[in-house]
Amino acid sequence: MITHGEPDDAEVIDRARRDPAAFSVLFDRHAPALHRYVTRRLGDSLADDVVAETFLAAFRRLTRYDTAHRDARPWLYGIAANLIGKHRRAEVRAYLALARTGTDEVAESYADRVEARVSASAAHQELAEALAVLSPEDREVLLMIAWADFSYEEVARALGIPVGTVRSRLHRARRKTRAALGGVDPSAVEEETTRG
Amino acid sequence: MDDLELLSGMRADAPEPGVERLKALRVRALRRRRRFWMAPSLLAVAGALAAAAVVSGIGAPTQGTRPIVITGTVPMSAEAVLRQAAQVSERRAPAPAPRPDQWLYRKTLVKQPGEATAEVQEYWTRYDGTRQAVRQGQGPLEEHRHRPDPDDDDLSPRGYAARLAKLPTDPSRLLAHVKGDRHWATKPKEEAGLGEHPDARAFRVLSVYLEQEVPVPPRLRGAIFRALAEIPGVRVDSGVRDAAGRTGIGIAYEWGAPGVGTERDANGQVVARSYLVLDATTYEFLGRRVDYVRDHVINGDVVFTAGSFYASAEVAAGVVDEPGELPG
Repeated sequence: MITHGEPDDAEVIDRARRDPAAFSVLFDRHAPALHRYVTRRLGDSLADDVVAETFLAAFRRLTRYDTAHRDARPWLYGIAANLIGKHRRAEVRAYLALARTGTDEVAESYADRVEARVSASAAHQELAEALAVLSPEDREVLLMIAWADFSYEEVARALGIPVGTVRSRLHRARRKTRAALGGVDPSAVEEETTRG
Repeated sequence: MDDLELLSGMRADAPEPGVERLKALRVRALRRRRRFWMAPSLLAVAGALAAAAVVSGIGAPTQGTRPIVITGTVPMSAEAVLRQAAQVSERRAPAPAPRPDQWLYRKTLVKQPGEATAEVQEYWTRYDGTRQAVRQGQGPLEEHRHRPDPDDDDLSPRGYAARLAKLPTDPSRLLAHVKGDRHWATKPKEEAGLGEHPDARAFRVLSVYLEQEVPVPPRLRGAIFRALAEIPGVRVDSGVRDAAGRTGIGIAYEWGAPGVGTERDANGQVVARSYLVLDATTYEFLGRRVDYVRDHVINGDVVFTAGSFYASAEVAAGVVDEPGELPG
């Protein structure tokens, strides 16, 4: 992702400590994907707030960044996770609504307004049910892996927990998602998803 | 298709923000350029200290180069100096706490490497942390209103004083505490401190305590020096100058780890030595100094040339009733 000759995140942060203007590089690099991730968690209307707060908080904590880590993504998503956590009830409410009605208000928030209601597949309804009942800690791990494409190590760094804890939380979370999907015939799942 | 793949497909059509929206968000997200509570010395030094990891692994072309000799600094017995510093500190009377509506004044000189003159920075911070005023050089007095975020490390001076008051004053217990301290925050979820050696962390956190603008209680101050003496690799040099040209003793951490201590290149040669500069008699904090003894190279660019230095100096401090007022 980072081409040769371009400073990596740790170097950008190192420079930003002396020259705050350099911090904008970090925003340009990571804000679009982070915004999408937050949108996926909380919907379109909260994404701007959470992303702005994440970068403001990150800037205040620049001195604490351990530049041994070249990629700042886990750090930024960890900060964002705390901010997303402040909207936990809204997040869970949306999963529950999706599970019960098949209507995903988060997907509707970013879908074109004139479009018809966004209806989810049966499998996604089942998953939403599982997401709603997971502990916040387990959900965080699961979604960082599924939606932010983080490795176990990256999740560990983001949340400040050992890799072993990431594994056990993911294991616990996936037991619930699998159980939720248990009633769904795998071939039907394929079909539902492709029909989308 | 397994559960993870199915989950990956959920809300997968969520878009990234458009150009215009991103532009507006960028302005919002970057609006606060200056960290509120941070003294400039801390900001710059952390950057300088953290550069060790940057230098290593990039193949900085410093092999075989001779370091610049910093004249006038002489290594001393760290243990003896730190013991003396502890004794002097413990004899001092505790400073009275300001009222919540009073302001802490702090005037600092900051000299960046490669620049000939130091910049004057003045800070007025309300003790309860609700407001801060800053003046740079001869510029206007800029006031900021601020609501400290409890999730952040941003503590008001009063909050910081309370934090210091809770620290153990037994040197060994203090050292054990700061080794496990993730630096300020009680729940720093985003920063596990993975990779930072406990000794390096202890040195970093104790340094931060010593340069706080809120007065450190005498017993704690003594314990900080005694704890520093217990950290392997802590070095003390005499004849280290701050940004105001005052000579003091410099405390450094020789066993640099990524993010703290003496910076070394990929070959283990010292690139920069970072000091906490203290008055040689009172052991008050004078400032910071980073001496670049070899060229500091990032990505093939010489960022700081050998012989250049960063320095800060605390030149005035006191308690006043209004921002802009100077202590009498």
